Amino acid sequence: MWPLRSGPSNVNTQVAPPPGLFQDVQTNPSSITTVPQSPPPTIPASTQAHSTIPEEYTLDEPVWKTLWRDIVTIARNLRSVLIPVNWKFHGQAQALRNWDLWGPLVFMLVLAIVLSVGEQNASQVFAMVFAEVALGAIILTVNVILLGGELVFFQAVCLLGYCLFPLVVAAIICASVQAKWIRSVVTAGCLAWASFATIPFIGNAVPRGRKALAVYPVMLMYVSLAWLALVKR
Amino acid sequence: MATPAAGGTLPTPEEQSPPAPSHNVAVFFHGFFKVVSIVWYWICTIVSDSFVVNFVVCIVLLALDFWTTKNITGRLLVGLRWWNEANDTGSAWRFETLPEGVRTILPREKRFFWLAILLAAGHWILACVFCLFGASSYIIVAIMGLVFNGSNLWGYFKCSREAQADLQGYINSTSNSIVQGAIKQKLSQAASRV
Repeated sequence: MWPLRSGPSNVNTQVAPPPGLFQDVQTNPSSITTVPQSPPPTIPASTQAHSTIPEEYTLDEPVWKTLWRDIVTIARNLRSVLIPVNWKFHGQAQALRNWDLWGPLVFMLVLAIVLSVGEQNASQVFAMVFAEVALGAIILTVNVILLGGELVFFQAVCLLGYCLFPLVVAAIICASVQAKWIRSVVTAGCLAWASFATIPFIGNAVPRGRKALAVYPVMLMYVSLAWLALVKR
Repeated sequence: MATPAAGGTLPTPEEQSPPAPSHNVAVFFHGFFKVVSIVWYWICTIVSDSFVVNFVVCIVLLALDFWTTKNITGRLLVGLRWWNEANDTGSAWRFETLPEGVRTILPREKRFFWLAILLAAGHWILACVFCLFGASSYIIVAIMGLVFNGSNLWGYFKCSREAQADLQGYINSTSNSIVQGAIKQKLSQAASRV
């Protein structure tokens, strides 16, 4: 395994990054200029908490390791978004530091499939749900950013996507159960769950006084998806 | 960077020979997923009636291709890698390249890598245009295909630019003229490599 040289966006590689930003990267100039002869030191697991990918030695890792790392990231994101233990904005932003879009993609597909199964115009429903979720996530994030929110674009899209999970659960349950009252209760519960996951994040990202402007479209999208699940067949 | 140890002589290009492994499996899969997703996109309406099934299979193939290209074939075939980190100051795009002397990139693999990415991105642009004129609902698939392949193209393009800029910066900041001469030699090799 060889150490890597990561290229920052500016050409000057000699500037040491500010502490706390790249804690796990040891980019001292001497490591760039010598050909290493001994196995590189291992990175302690605690310093990897801030980085999506362990900084070094990943250009030659085996395939299953890459795959496993992505799976762990997805599981961790799902758990941290849907079990809102830490209600504060910074806690959730911290948890979603390693954002990924695989979870949202899977949930989008599953939701669209479940909502369109057995319908007369299944392809239209499918296309509509898929487009609504995809465009909705992007437009809502842009909305928050334009309202003066301090969000990382992909992090917000990741969050909105992962918060579809309760709606997927509601859609599956509603598709398999006929009794209206069960459907209503389940849908309302899942809608509340999804709201508790997104509203603190979105609401705290924008300046005070614009909270409703940012939260309302998100709630509209979730309510419309929940409604589609509720009235299915 | 392969530079001499203190007090040693400079290695000539002929003396140093970093390993040059070939990655036939990676080459195969790099092309396989792209070809299969493109072929399926065009024949799916003939093969199957269900829009939902076609769409989902297309997306799955595109996602497999994207993941393989981004995480596996890029670093194996051309030694490049790109990703994004969200930290306290916002999002940061990171671009990585193998330092020189670690592994030799095979020119045929590099050519195949870039050719496949460019052709796939070009195809999906054409598919988007066709769908626009045909007003087909498969335009969503075409757009997703463009997003997946286009982002890989963009990421690896920026990686290769970073590698070139890195080399230039290293050369400019060095003051030793002998080392500079040797490095200019390596730059001409690297310019053909990147």
